[in-house]
Amino acid sequence: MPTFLDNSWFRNIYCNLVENDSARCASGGWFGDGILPNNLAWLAYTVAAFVICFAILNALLGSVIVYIWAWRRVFARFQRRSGPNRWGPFGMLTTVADAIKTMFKEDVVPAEADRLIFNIAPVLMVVPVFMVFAVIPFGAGTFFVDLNVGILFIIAVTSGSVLAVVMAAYGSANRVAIFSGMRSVALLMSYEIPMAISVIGAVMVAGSLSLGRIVEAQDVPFIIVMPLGFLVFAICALAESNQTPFDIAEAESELGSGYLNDYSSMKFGMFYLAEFAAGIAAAAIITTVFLSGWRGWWPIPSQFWFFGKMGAVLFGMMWIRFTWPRLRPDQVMGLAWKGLFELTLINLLSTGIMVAVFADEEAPGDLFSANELWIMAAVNWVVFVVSIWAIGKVLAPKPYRAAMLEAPVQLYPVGVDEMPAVKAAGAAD
Amino acid sequence: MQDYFRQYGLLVIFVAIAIGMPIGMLSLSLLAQRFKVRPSRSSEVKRAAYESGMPPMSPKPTLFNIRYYQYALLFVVFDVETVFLYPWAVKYGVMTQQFGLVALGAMLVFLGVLTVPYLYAWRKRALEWQ
Amino acid sequence: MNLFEVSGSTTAAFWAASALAIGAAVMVVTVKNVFRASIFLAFSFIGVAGLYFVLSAEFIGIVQILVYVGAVSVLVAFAVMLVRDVSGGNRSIGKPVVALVIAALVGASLIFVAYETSWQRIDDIANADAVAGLAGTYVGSDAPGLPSGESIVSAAGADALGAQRGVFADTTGVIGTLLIKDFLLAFEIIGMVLTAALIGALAIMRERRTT
Repeated sequence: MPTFLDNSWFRNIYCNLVENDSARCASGGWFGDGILPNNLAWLAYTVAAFVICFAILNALLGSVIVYIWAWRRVFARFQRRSGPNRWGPFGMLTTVADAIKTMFKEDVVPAEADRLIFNIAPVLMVVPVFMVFAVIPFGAGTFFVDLNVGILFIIAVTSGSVLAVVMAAYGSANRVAIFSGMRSVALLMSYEIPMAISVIGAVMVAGSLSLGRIVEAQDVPFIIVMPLGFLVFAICALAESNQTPFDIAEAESELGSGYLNDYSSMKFGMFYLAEFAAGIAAAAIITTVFLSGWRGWWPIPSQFWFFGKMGAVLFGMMWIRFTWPRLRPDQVMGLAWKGLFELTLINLLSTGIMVAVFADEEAPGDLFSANELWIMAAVNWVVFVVSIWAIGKVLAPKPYRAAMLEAPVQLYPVGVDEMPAVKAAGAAD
Repeated sequence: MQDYFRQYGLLVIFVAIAIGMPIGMLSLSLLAQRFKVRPSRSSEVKRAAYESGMPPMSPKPTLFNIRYYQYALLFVVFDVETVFLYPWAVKYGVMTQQFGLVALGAMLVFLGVLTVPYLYAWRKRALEWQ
Repeated sequence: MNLFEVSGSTTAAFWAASALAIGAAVMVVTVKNVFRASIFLAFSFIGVAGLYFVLSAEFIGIVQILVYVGAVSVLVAFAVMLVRDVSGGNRSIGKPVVALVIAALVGASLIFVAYETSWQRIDDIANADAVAGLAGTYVGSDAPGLPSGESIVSAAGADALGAQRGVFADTTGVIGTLLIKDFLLAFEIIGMVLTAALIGALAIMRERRTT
């Protein structure tokens, strides 16, 4: 288990502060010994933790600003518009201006709202997303903590946002908010199960829940070794970020902004921040678990590899969001419970058999070599194609019954090529 | 073992800052109201619940469908199931050597038992959105 | 207080987590609004998870957050929203003496159990596998260089065991090993219990009405 001193940022700050801690700072800091005597080592520890923690969270806030700008620009390009282009070069300051504006907007609390619940909900929405970044390894030796329950920690903590949605929905005491909040909770809950099971394949191969160890195990990125796990995890991550094609909770034409309707000013800003930070968090998790995290080839530093891959994942997620139509609620729920759930179990089974086959020749707890991972990948791709085809057969929409088309009431069936001919009222015939 | 507590000590500090940051932003916004930078001109109309421009129909909506409760029940059961998969998966590679196919078989039985009510739920259309 | 000493910082963490758990629990029973009570219940669960972390049972702590905060408290919140009078429904039953007696009995029995239990540390757990696993030195019986048969603690592991007295290194893997090795039957029975729960959940669902 990596300790806090394997974290190179932490070690440098800590060892520069403490005067003589030869047990922990054998190699010393950048500038040699610090000024704090050894019995104040806990102060050095706390200061170092605060500094790194603050750096990570502020970097996150900065990247959310950049992400929102990029999101709007790319969205505009997809629709052949120009997007925000007034403030700063390429409109880069638009989001900064938006953030400042949001802060100084009037804060309106509905008269009927449960003020306590209403005010806590935005904070509770943001905290789980922030917590994800505590365990993500951004580069070799660049992490905040490497828990030995890392991936499970992420899944547990993000499930806290479900509670925040319930609170926001109930707190605003608004029928639209409650309706959309319940939809959103049903969606979050449905997609959390396949999401949690889909990473178990990676856990089995790596033999650990620690994210650092999972990155180490990826001599071949897990996206190649277990395509099914990646597919399910990516779909679930997209769904949990609550945007098209899964945005049934804030379908704009039906529900306005859903449970955000009654929020204004910085409280709305918190939800907005949480939504986009969750997108970045999802990309970071996908990069770590399935795209071999910070690993790459030599001349480029590991951190650049990590953020490069993360950017690519974010772009892919944007692409899906901007080009897919919104799914109906029944399609969304059916996909989670009937499609993704089976796919994860198939992934679990095939990976389990493969691990059982290859673990024999290994020393206990050893990682798999690249060759073994390639063989696993080959088998898993066959399973991938077959199972996707089979699930597609099972979930294929049933043809509409003729009785529905002949019904006297005008129906607008989806998936039928031609509308039944209806005489326009008063048409000469 | 001290490393264990140091790891989680770091985590506690992270939690503190992660909670403090949004609260700090919200209170900064509130401070702006104190210094009259942020307007505060509330009115009866503004404070009414937003229902797409219509006046609110009832003072407190109690729109709650029992179906959501059933989804939550399903969720709890499968969540507990997932929790048992994790410790098994961590030591799975080691256990297959020691116990052979028992390691895989035990989990297959565990999942197989749960498949029966799952298929029953499918047949009963409990997995579908009304 | 020295943060590097286990005693100082963990004691502080213990009191903080207990304060959160108990304080939130008191709010659950005193607050009038039922929905607020359910939210305080979630905070109480978080406090209990903190206690697990202090006990260095990090897996159980995480599971507490995943299942109780993420799932059960949402279930409770949903159930509460079905109540007709949400804002004032958490009324007292008006029999303080009965409540006090029951609470005192439950508290007394818990304290009795806590005193009567012989608390095991890692050095007096009987099961060698559990000890080895808890110390993070679990080695398979087929490992090269070790006599076959029972899985044992390696020589290097014995030192580590001494260094880590009383603390569990990696509980997740040990739980998994013990589930398959010693508690296989219990594990399958859990599957049955979950099945029963699922069928129960389905039974209260109404049949979909045909058009």
